[in-house]
Amino acid sequence: MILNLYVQVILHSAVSALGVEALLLLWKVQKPAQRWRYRLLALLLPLLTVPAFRLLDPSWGSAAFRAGEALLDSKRWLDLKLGGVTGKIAAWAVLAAGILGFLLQEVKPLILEFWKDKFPHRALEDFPSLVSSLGCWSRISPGDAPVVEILDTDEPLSKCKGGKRAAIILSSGLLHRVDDKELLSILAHEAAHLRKKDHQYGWALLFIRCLHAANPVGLLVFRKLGEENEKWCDDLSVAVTGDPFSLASALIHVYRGSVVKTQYSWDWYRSGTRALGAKARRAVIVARIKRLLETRSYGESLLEPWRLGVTAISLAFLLFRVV
Amino acid sequence: MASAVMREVGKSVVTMAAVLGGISVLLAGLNRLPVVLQPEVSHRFKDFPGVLEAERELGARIWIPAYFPDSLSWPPALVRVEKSEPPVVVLGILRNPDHDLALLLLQSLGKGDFQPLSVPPVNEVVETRRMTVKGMSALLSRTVDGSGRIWTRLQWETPSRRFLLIGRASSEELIRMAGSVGGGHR
Repeated sequence: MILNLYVQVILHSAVSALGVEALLLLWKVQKPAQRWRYRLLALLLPLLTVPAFRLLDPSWGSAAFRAGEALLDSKRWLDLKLGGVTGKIAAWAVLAAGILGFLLQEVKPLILEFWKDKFPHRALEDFPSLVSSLGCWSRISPGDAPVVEILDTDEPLSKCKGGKRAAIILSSGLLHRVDDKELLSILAHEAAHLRKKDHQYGWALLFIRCLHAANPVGLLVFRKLGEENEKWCDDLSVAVTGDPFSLASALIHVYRGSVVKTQYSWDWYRSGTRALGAKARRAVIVARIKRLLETRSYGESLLEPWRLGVTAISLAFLLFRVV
Repeated sequence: MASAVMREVGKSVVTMAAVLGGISVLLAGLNRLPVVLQPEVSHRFKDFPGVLEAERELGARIWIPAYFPDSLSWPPALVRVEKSEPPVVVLGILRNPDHDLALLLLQSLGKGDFQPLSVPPVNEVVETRRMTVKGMSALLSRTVDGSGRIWTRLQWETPSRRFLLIGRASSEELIRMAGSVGGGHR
């Protein structure tokens, strides 16, 4: 039962992701905001369709359904035996590896975050350029300037935190590296996150990520969703400042500062995964910088909200025949 | 403006159809692959869209009951031929309106071994009794499956075929259906 459910969610994730990526490519959807919505659809559909189909149609997944109506019957693969290994054993192995990966990649850092020594804070007044940028906050976002916390670390950091009491977190390492224009671009980027309420929706997304815990396809889609969100906020930042190059330049500082020193540790796992994680993060930063340096505007289809709806319904119909 | 919208609608529909069609073909291929890789283990049977297609492939008539309770849905949701010797035909019939599997009719097209694969497992045999169907000896039993559901089984044979009816209907209905099974016109 658990294995069947797991395999069905993975299959539905794969079909949804494949359909969404193909449509994004063929329809030439370029705007990050739209791409983000399509990818959210690919993340949500498998979580909704599998329980909905089971509830709405009790025959869904039955032997008769699998034999007659299913376009892809996962049981055929689970029953397949190659090289002494059945599909069921392979699926259990993927499930176990997925759970382990989720615990190490997502849960462990979260727990360590609570327990590790916090960086000391610096006073806002230590950074006059930041004070003056916050003084003209109305130029980059409506409303009052948010709380800004400055962490005393050389690592260039810039992010938002909090639920109802939102705050922008910057590091002294970042503030020492950037000039006034770059700082304004970064603040405009973080302001975009706050305006979109990402600090609140982030918890909902984390919950969805937990539901996809052992799903490797879900993990990939989730990563792409995060990247698209950063690009979306880059666009909102540039729309306010009109200066993509300062944001690109600020990201170069972040890139340079995040290059980790090679760690010759006996703890091969720790150094290996850190290096891998840093490499992936840096690849995303490079993609964002390249995108900012390309001066082009993205057109929007007149049909856009409808196309998303039709995509959702069409994929749901297709997924009904994947069991 | 209107023509631009129509053109975009057309392009979007064609693209959507192409993507869904492409994925469907891919899925159908993936569904077929285990059969290609391991026909002897995974697929000792073949499913057909309908009774006529199965008859065409077998070159023989499939006998079906003339009597079906109204609660059952026709045509069968499952038409399967198990590639044993002799072949065994399995018809899976759903119940209205919940589309739950309600009846399995299995028949071997000969009098050899009758060990069909597509039979729900039996956890417990509650009752067994001998009786006759159309003057031929039959075995009626009531069984419980792994989910605690009761299934009635009726097994009998004619001079040319063996039959097994497995259903959630009452014994009386199963016996009536068995009595109406024949190779004549439908």
